[in-house]
Amino acid sequence: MKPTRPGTGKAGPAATARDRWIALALVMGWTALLLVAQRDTGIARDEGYYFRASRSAWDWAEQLGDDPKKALSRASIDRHFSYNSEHPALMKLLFGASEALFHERLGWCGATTALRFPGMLISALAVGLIYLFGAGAHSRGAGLCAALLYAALPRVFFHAQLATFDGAVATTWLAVVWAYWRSLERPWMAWVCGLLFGVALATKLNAFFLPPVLFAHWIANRAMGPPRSRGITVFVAMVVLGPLVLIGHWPWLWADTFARLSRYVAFHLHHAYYNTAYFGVNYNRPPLPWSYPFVLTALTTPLVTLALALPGLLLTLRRPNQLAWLWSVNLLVPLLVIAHPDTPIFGGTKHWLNAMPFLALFAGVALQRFTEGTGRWGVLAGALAIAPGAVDAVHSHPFGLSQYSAIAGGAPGAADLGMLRQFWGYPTRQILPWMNERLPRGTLVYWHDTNHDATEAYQREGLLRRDVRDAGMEEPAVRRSDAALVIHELHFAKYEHMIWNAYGTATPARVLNLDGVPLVTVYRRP
Amino acid sequence: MRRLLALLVALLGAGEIGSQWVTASRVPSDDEWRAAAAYVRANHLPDDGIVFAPSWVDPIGRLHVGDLVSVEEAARPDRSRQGRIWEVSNRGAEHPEARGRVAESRVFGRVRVRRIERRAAQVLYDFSASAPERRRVAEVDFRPYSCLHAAPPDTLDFPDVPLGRSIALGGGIHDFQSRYRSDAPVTVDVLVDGKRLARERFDNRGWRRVTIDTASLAGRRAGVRFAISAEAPMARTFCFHAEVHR
Repeated sequence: MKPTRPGTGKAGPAATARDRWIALALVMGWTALLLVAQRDTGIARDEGYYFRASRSAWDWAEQLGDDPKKALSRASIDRHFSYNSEHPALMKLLFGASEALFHERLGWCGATTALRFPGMLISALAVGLIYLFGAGAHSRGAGLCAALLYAALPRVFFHAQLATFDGAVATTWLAVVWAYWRSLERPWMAWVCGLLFGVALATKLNAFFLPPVLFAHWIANRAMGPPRSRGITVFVAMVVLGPLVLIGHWPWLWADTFARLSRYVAFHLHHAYYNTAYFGVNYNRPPLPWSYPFVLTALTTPLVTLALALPGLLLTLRRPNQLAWLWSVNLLVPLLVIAHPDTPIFGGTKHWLNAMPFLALFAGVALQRFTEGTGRWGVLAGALAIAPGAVDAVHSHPFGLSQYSAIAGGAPGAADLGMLRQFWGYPTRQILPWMNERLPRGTLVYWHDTNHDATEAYQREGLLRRDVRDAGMEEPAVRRSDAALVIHELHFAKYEHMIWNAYGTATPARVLNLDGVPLVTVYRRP
Repeated sequence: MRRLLALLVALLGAGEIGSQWVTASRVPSDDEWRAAAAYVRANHLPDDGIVFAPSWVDPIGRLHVGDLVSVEEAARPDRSRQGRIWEVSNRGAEHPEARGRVAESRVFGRVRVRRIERRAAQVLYDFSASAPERRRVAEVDFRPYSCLHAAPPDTLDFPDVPLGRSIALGGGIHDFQSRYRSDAPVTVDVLVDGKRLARERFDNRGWRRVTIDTASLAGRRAGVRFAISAEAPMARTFCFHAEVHR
């Protein structure tokens, strides 16, 4: 694929067969890495809920095949989809289908791996798509650099392993933007864009922000002079196909459509405020400092990637169809949404993961340009630009939510700064071998923030002894337990003190840490 | 020009990897922790205090010298009675309560042990120790404090207390959920034989320490009452510690 010449008005040539093979190789390669890596990654709190919802959704799909009349009854739909109705069904149907096929029918892998596989694959599609987007807009080298820089982002690498929606929505968001960009020169792509917008809506709520983002670009594109888009068909397609796909794929919306759709949107508009530590302060009510998403991005993204993004933006300014503006607005809007003082506090970086492909695209453009024609030095420089992220992703694995880049001073530096240490209670997975070896038979464990569904999954998959029992929740569970975990987050300090009160000791039996920063502390009743 | 830019990118990448290596290399090994713990254990006296720095390393410190760190010590609300404090730290961190003369400093790889010596306060009476049924560890400002729980309106009476030159009083609102649910202050009236000696206000801003002057009463024995009140008592879960200093 040759680069587009500035000022030609072309959105870029179609990908060649070679480009498609490169993109496929990137997708396959990264999926393979994720498949290997996720074996050590604990089950995140939300995954436990999604596992349950996925099985329920797939039960319905199977019923649809066996007894369509019954499956299409309101009673059956409500029974299968009312649980976790705050998220669309697409990913959950895919998770469930994957478990049914790869785990139950073929027996190729454990249930957790099978449930996670669609998320990994769709997340990995972003790597291929970034390559195609970069190659189409700039050059093959820029696309490759961008794809590798994205794949090496430690937080992206972590989220892509999970049966959640964040890695997937980063892909579907990117796919919509790519299709929109192509539609500026190829009108039929407008309908592809509309369809992909529906898929994005069916993936996660973030996609609701896409039309205003793209419309802002479209207005600017027209205002800034030629080259111009040929019409607003793309928005017509999004308005028509988006809701159709969202409602069409999600049986929960087939009855009381408007009421349930309103409840779905309202759930997220009035979402509970999570706790998040930011420079030593625990934020639990709005407003979260507007700087939060920008600082977290700066502290978790490799410095070299950040440093390359700005010159990448400048280099992209010369491209047609205001490509720099398109990528910029898609880089900034997801962060600005979280920065808005009225946005519920979620914490972590996952809510603007859909911005990261555009950061990688800018950085990839600069990396390619800086290293082009410099021979072996260029290859070395390229490798050294991608390596910090890759090294950090491997080093912090499987504790990706505790990863902080060199700017923060790694996990210890972030702990000194008082930043969010982790969330979702997933590091428990790394304590299990110790528990299996050391805990007496029938031990009653207070699991703290570890999801009960997760402990059940660990037992089903042979990672945790079946005789280890769950003591339950909160202080009564701590009091009756024989062993107790505290998963370290600032606002969870009180649970450690509850354990001291109940056990009469402050001496841990085991401390799991990343670079000396405690993640999980285990106590045993003396 | 491009070669220069490529070189800059390469240097930045190499520098970042180097920085990651430095971060990992500063993490103490288990052997270093064990060596430091063995030294503290060998030289620790019964009334010595032990603190860890930075604060987030606390669980690892207790893992290694937990036999010397009781719940009371881990959650000690007032260390003024301790004449010797062992500070076990890494990354060059210093504990805010390890103030005094550095009598000894030893390094065990990446773990530093300092023995701090200072003039200890003589405690004539510990109110918290005298009401064990009210005492437990509470989270105030996300730190542990062994203290007396009191939900306003509440009174705690201590008869026949030997008085000295001062009463050291500290307190705060536990836990973080209470602090988010209300901003109302809590008032503590300290009465000696029914006469109000001091009125102190405590709010959501962490653990606050005050010293109440009792020099004119030194040497006497008297009944001491702590009357805890709040105009808006909802979610005002107060916790305090007090002791009489000679």
